[in-house]
Amino acid sequence: MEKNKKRFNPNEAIVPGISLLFGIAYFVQTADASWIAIKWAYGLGTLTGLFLLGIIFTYVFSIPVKKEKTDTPANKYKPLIILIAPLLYIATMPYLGFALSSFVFLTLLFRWLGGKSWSRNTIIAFTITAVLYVAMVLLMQMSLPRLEIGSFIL
Amino acid sequence: MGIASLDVILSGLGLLLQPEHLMWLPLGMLAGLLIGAIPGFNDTNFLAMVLPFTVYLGPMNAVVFMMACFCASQAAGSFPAILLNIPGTPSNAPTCLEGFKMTRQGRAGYAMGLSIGASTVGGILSALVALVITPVVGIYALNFGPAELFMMAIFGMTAVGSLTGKSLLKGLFSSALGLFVACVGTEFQEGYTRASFGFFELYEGFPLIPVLLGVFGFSELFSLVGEKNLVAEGIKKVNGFGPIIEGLKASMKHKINMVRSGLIGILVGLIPGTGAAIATWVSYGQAKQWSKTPDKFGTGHDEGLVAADACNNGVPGGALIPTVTLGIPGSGTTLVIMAALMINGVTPGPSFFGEHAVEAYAILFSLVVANILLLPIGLVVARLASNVTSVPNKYLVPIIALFCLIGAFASRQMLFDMYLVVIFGVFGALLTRFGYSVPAFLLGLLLGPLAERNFFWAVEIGGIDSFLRPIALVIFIATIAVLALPVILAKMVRSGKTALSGVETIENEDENS
Repeated sequence: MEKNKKRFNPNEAIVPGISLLFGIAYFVQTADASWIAIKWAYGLGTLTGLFLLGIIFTYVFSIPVKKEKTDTPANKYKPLIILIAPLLYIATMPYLGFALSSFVFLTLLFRWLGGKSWSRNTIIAFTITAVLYVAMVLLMQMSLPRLEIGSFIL
Repeated sequence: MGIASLDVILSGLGLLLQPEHLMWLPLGMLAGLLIGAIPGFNDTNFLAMVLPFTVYLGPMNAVVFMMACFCASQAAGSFPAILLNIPGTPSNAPTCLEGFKMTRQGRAGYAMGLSIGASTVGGILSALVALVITPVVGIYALNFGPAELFMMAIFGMTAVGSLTGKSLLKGLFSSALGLFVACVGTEFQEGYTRASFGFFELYEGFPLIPVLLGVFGFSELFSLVGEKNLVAEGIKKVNGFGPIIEGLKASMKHKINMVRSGLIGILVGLIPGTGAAIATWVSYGQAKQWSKTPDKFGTGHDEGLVAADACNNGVPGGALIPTVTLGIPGSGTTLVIMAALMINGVTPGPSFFGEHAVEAYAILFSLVVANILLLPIGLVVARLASNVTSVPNKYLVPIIALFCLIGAFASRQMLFDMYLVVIFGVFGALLTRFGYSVPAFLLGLLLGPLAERNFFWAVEIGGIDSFLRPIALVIFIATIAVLALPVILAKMVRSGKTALSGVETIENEDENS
């Protein structure tokens, strides 16, 4: 009988937790809003809150289920790379320019995800960057961040 | 505004078939298929970019070229949705649900064939309906006031009920959260900026394209990164035209589904301010409710893909009707097409069919011919595009990540949108992992501003009584029916199973005796 007792399930609390934090931040930010401006948001906030309570009682405090298969140690760090690498790419783009940062981003990410041949990684990264550069910067005249090296604009 | 004689209609066809006009159709198709397949480039962005160049083409060539681009980019948006789980346009999001699953099962070519078949049929149907009823029906679109549009948004939301699948509670929570997240940004009544968290980039709310690229494209990378290939191991990859033709043939088995979805596309496209993104979800939800195998939706099911793509290409014809007849563009894309006409000295509106009947019919015929051309040109482009499944994930994952980030930047040219892709990518991955409905969340985000604006307008104009107008009531009844149908169907399935088990028990008893 002890096995069927409802327990706190921390994994199931992640999405409701994020939603709750968002809701709190939202209403703190809009504390000075007039009733006219905020009534629609209050209505929806209440509705979302009611569903959130339902989820807390149904899933966050629930009968534990069997654990899913966990990732192999080699794969555990890869999602972290996918999270961090783009953040670094976006942060460095204004300084390195679109072309160079994209090339570095692709080359390193290929390598970190298992592309062992540096030459192949470099060729693929260069080709994709070049195609994007021609399409985005030269043809579509998009104002992507660029690096100026003397008279050469990358 | 009356119906033109056969001579005028045939003159319109004759005008289009002149080589100097006709040559712009395949060119527009090719451009639309190639550029429309780039994630983040929706058809509106693409046509807006093309617009300045069309000034040099002359009014007829410009509009023919743009109509071809419009049809092709609508269809091409499905290619990255099927192959990479990146919706080319917001309306391709339901295609991701089925198409990408098929790709993972080694059926990318088949899915592309299905998509092209459904897009062609939906597009031709839509073009023919537009051709026949444009002069007559356009005027009725004016009857859609704020109350009807609000009800339409609610109807779209209830269609989510059929998408939520495993947990209704989590599905409803996802859509409510989507609606709530849509409350970020400047509200329309007082111009107050609600919770922009100090970012001027959020003054207009969360931009749809980066959110879409995040929750669909980027979130998928977290699971792809742990696998060697896009296609699950042990599944033989089949290349060449064979699977595409097979998919094309299979799409023809879903005639009723395609016609129903195409008609949904036309009807929703007809209502100004709605657009393909809402239509495809409604169509997908309806296909699931009418399906004999609703449990297969979301697992790579033909019916879901056919419904989404037939509807997606059904929208242009519908959206064109109020644009041409009333001068009210049904979507952002038709707004650009209207601008192209106006730049070239032609003003669409109630007098358009009276003053420029031949040109008006030529434009409508261009939509029919463009959709016919979609089949051969689309097949060749699909054949080339399906090779992407042979690329190992170690190369594909970084490339998808880069395309998602650049696609997000392309929509507003802001670095901030790239951060949004990462944030919503993580959030989308969490939603998927814990059984929440990503489509419901997105639909809430999409419909939020539309629902809010029209609700308050309706109340201000006519009070609560506005929601009791005949069209609003019909949509409301349809909404209740949509909510009730899954419950009724589930009961029918249960009673059917009980009856079946009863029959089996009796048969077993007979055999034993």
